Amino acid sequence: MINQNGPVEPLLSLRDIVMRFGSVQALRGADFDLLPGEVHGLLGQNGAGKSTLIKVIAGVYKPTSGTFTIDGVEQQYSSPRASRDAGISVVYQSLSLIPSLTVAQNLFLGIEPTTLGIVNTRALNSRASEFLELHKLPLRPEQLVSSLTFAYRQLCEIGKALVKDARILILDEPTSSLSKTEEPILFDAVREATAKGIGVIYVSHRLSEVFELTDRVTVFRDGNNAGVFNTADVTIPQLVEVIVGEKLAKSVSTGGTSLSVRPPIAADASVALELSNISNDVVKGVNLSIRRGEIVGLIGSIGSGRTELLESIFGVRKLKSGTIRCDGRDVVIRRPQDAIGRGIKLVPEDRHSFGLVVDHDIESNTAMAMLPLLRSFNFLFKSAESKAFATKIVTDLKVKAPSTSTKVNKLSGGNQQKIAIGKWLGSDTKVLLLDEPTAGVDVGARADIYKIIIDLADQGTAVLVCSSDYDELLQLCSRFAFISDGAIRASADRSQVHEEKDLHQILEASREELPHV
Amino acid sequence: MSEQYVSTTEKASRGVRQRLAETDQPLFLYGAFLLLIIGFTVANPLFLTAGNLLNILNQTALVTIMAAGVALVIITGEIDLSVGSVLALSGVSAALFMNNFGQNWFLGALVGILVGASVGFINGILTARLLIPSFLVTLGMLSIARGIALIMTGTAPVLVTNATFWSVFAETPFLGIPAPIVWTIVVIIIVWVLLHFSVFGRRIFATGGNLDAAKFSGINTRAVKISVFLISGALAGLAGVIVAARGHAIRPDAAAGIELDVLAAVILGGTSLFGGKGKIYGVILGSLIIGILNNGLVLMGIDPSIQLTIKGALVIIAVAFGRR
Repeated sequence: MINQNGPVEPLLSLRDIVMRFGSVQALRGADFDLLPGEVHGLLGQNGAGKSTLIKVIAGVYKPTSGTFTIDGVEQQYSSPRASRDAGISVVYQSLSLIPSLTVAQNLFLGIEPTTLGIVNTRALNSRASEFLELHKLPLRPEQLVSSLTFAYRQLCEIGKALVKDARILILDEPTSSLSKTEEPILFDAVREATAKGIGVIYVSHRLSEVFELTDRVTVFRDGNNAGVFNTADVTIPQLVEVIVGEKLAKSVSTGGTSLSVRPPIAADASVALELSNISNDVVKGVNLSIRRGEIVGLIGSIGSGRTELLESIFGVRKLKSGTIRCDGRDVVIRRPQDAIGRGIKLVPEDRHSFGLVVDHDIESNTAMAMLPLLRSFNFLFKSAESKAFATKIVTDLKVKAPSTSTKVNKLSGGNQQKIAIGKWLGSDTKVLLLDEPTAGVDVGARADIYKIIIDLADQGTAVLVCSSDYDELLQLCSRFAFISDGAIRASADRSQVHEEKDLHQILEASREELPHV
Repeated sequence: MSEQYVSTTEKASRGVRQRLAETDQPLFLYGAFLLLIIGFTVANPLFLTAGNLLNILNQTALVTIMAAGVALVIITGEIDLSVGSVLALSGVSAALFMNNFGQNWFLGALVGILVGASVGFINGILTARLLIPSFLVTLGMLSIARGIALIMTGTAPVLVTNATFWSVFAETPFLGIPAPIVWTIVVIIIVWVLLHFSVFGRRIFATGGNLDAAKFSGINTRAVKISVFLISGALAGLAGVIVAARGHAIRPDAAAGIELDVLAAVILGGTSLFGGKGKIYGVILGSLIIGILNNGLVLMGIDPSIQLTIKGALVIIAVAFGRR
């Protein structure tokens, strides 16, 4: 916690920062302060200027005008290296660790203790072990980074920053790949760092964790700061209003106080997807059935087999045993083609790797999944129909893009995700499998995506959605299934669950194989 | 933020400069093309004569035909280094078939093209099914196909005596255009339709743009890769048939090293080595640059070893520029 009484000299201070790219003004006179020992949340929609500000601090961009001081000394640097020398360390979403090396080797990469020019492994490991203990990082020096889960890799990344005497740590969406149970590991490391006087800038779309962790928050909107708050003095709805800047706020994620609970689906609705005892190397004997129009939440931590279950249904992973029934008929799914042909679609967690061709335009991406339907004379591509479909998706799903020939990598995360979902809507969708549908998606677009999902369900699509954002699941789902070690261990109806905490408890209880709720 | 939906006015108002910036074709390509023509014309007035230009097109035909096939392979994110050897193997096969099985020009050409297609198919299977990098597969095949051509012929040239064969593939002009150029135009039109107007073309771009996303969208990426290797092999086969017809004979060491010209043409034409990007007119332009360069350097009396050095450097420069 910061000392509120005495005047604290800011560690980092930006005044009146303007950043222009040609005719576009990404920052319009932004101010930002970071105090020593505080966790400072940085919020805002995509395109609000957060990442530009981070890149200015990290020395990637040189601001067009404005002053930038560290410890009251004005900085003129304009290279990432100079920024590191000034004690700033950015932990990006894509990690910079070398997986084939150990934790110790990664921590001291380039500064290994040597004897006669040869790396002294024993000294390296003992030094690493002292270091890890000092910073209370729960890692072992000899562990290979490739054997670590994502959360621990992030700890190692933070450790690496601390080795280099970082005084300002910037975490950009650090929890987007973490499950709820893994978050505390990261949060503890962050608190440990701040206790030593390090200032942490914490960028996230997830308001609940911003509330849990930060001391202050700065909200960015349209290239300027829309306000600085002591976290203790504001509520989530207030913040959402500042972030969005309109009355849109009320239809958006608002912490535990969700709007309308989705009613359970009538028991006589027909079953759209029925999994009977399906198994392979990861999935173990899963039974699950989803009715038409039903949205089921799949809850489990990273490594629980949740993504693998979705991929097994979609034909990316082969099944060893068990049957899948779709609309009452047994179906054999060996490849994604088979699943798509039956109306089963998957929106993968990592849209950049699996969902989209990001350096192709919107139209190519929306056409990609429905090529068999865009064929004339068994050969030619129906270009006009493809354009019409792309335009319809852009309009219906409110994708913010100048045209359908805009490249997908020019769009914000939320708009990319709309394309990743929209590409499936050209043919009948009986079952929609969603893996982390709002990862890296800003608050405004999030509401749009919820609406798309709910509209689809209302039209009779069965939806299985996997998410680490329990608040999101509470808003969307009428039923939950809890997965760990590749098997469904528990299930619960929406009416039995009141808040996020309940979902945590059920998941924990189900792991200990207690009887179902 | 105001909502920006698709609007036609906005599309029309996009400036020329922005379009050039967005195009996959490196600007320097057009500049290089002009510079070469101007430079060579200044150096030797003979360069810019109708006779010589037709000669260039005729000389470039082989490179263009093979570049069209290799471009498809490169757009899927793979590479085909074997085309020069496949050309020789196919040409030799066609000639030997005609000499031994009754001089039918059509069957001879068919055998040549099918041999090329088969080698391409094997390249495709090894790459897409056994997941061996295509760089290695086709580098090995470069050696294998050449070796087989040498074995089949006992290293001696094979004569081609069928006059219809000469006529169809090399000698009888159509509407005043030399036969090799006609074949090039036919190939270009087919590949152009395939790449830019067919569903298969969409699959090629998607496969090269993001293999996993293409798979997750229900595209059979293996079939796509095998098909493009097969097409590339078949086109190298056609080139072999043309070489055999043009020379009234084919040597088993024909077209050695031509893969460099073909790759240079494809890459100069703006096709991304990383896959997912490329245009057929770029391939034409790239081949023409290579053709003009070959011709102009000869007219200037530059030593062949220096020519080779210049072309090699050009490939590297083209990749360096194209990667932006």
